[in-house]
Amino acid sequence: MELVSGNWQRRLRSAPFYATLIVITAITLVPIVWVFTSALKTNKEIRENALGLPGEWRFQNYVDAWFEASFDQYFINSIFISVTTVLIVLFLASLAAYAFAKMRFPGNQPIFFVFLIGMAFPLSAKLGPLLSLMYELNLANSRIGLILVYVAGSLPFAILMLRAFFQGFPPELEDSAALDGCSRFQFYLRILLPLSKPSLMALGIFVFMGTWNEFFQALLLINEDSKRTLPLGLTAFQDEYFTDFALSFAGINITAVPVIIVYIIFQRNLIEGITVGSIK
Amino acid sequence: MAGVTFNHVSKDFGDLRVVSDLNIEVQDKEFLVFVGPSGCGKSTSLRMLAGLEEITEGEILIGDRVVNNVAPKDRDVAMVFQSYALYPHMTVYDNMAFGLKLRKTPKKVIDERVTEAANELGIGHLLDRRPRQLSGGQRQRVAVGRAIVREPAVFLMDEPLSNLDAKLRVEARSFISRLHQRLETTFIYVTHDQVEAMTMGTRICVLNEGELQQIDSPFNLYHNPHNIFVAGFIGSPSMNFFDATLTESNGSMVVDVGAFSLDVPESKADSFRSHVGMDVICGIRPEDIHDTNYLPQGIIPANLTTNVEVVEQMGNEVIIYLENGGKNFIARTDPRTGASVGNEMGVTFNLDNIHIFDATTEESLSYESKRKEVA
Repeated sequence: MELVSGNWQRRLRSAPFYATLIVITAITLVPIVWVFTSALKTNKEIRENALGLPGEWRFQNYVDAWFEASFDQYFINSIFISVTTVLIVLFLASLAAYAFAKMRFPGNQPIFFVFLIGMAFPLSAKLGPLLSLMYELNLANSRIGLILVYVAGSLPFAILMLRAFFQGFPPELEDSAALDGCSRFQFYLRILLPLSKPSLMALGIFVFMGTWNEFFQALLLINEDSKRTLPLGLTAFQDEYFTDFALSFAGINITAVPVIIVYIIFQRNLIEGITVGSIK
Repeated sequence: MAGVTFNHVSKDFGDLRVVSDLNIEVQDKEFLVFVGPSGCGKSTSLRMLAGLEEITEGEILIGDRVVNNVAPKDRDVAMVFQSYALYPHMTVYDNMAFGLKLRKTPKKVIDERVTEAANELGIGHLLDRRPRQLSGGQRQRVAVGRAIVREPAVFLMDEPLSNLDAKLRVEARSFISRLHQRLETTFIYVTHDQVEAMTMGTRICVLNEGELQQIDSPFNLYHNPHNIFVAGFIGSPSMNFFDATLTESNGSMVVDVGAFSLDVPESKADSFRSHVGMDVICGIRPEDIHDTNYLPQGIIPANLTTNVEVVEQMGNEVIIYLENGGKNFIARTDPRTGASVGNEMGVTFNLDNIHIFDATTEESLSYESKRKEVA
């Protein structure tokens, strides 16, 4: 009897904690649910009953959004640009971070700080020079140009993160590999990269999400409709006088789904990558 | 198989000299142990030999070849690390085979060597496991196996037993000694544990603050230490030291400690005569201080009454912390002793094993004469 009442007392004590969690979860979920339900309404329903459930579930909105706004092409562009950016960033950042973390050479620290300076300037301060440079190099309005911009933008954080991970890498493994006959590059390829998988995965997801959702730089650099990415594609449903909210919401969901899928599949790696090194 | 020579080898880290003018000849097939306290330069010396640290001055030879500028992989050495340094993402087989694969050894040869070494080490059934699925002792064997399959000219071991518990460490000690006997290869072993050094080494190299203190057999290090550092480092509990003055009257020599004095046996007097009238340091090991009631045969006795401060019962012996006239010292006595804390106790020093050191240079006065005796 005492045991039962003890259990209830414990539950009562933790009730405020769980109540807080439920409130926070609700606050987080409401906008997501709202976007998903709004994508199934007509424009009239959205205007007249913004927070209510759809009277008729209009899945046709997704079909219309996909075909009316060339979403297939935007989707391919986004996949190509994001995946290529992730691969290039992981390759370059891991090489640079390895050098900064493990190799002793004159200028190691100053060069590293030059990379970090990229993080110190806000995007708005960089846009002018960036645009004129891209036009100068004939890289404006090209997917390759946009990839280069994204790679350059992602590298400082990527190098910072991987360098910290590589610095915590046991030096004995490097010594052991040297005695086994590994060159520096073999060590990087056969020991360091496989053991850095959680960090690389986490970084890859960060970069993918950042690139996938990026809007502003893509808007300024890409003019042709066939080269647009998904976030730019969302603007197809609004003009000076009219916004098609129903198709916009459907477009937002189409844009968000891949990121959510990537996150669900790799969330374990993401958490591992963030917490790696925090415990023995 | 090859010998190793350290020829006036020094190592600086910035302005700090961590190894100073090291001269050592390691014979082919020898088991040499570097021992010393933390920061004495023993691991750095081993890493210079492995090629993992650059040499600031001097040269290192493996066989007849100067290896100062030879890459680690081309030195024909294999190393076992304190942390084992196994590759976590590889199986035991791949860990052991990795070095051979990089050397483009035929797969058949790799299979043979790995299987043979694994079976010999008792890890043949673990070849498909990853390091995290192994116990500490098994990991240690994999690390040794990885070195064995390389069939190197010199085995280097950097405190390979430090991460094992006491029982496993004793087993691993004899296992490594047997391995040395079977492989008939040069072993160079680093440890801070004097028991490991004494039980495994054919010779021991004692280092302190980057300088070689003495290189000798375990027996000689214990019985004929070159200086106070070696005398204090080898042996547990450490040798007792007393500041003293050496006097001589009517042909008999006396070590005057202040609180008490000890007659120097005639057989030893010649070695100490040059220091009569001078300050010296007298050393006597705890095992040469006996309970007066339980004396071994053939000692040269000097009796003393002491106060018992602490008694540590070890089962096969008793460690007793004693005091006489303000001087504190430790005795290691027969387990039958009736010593109890707070009481007086009669002890007997065995003067046959007394050590006298120069108070300035801290070097043993009898080192040279004893060395000649042994030679």
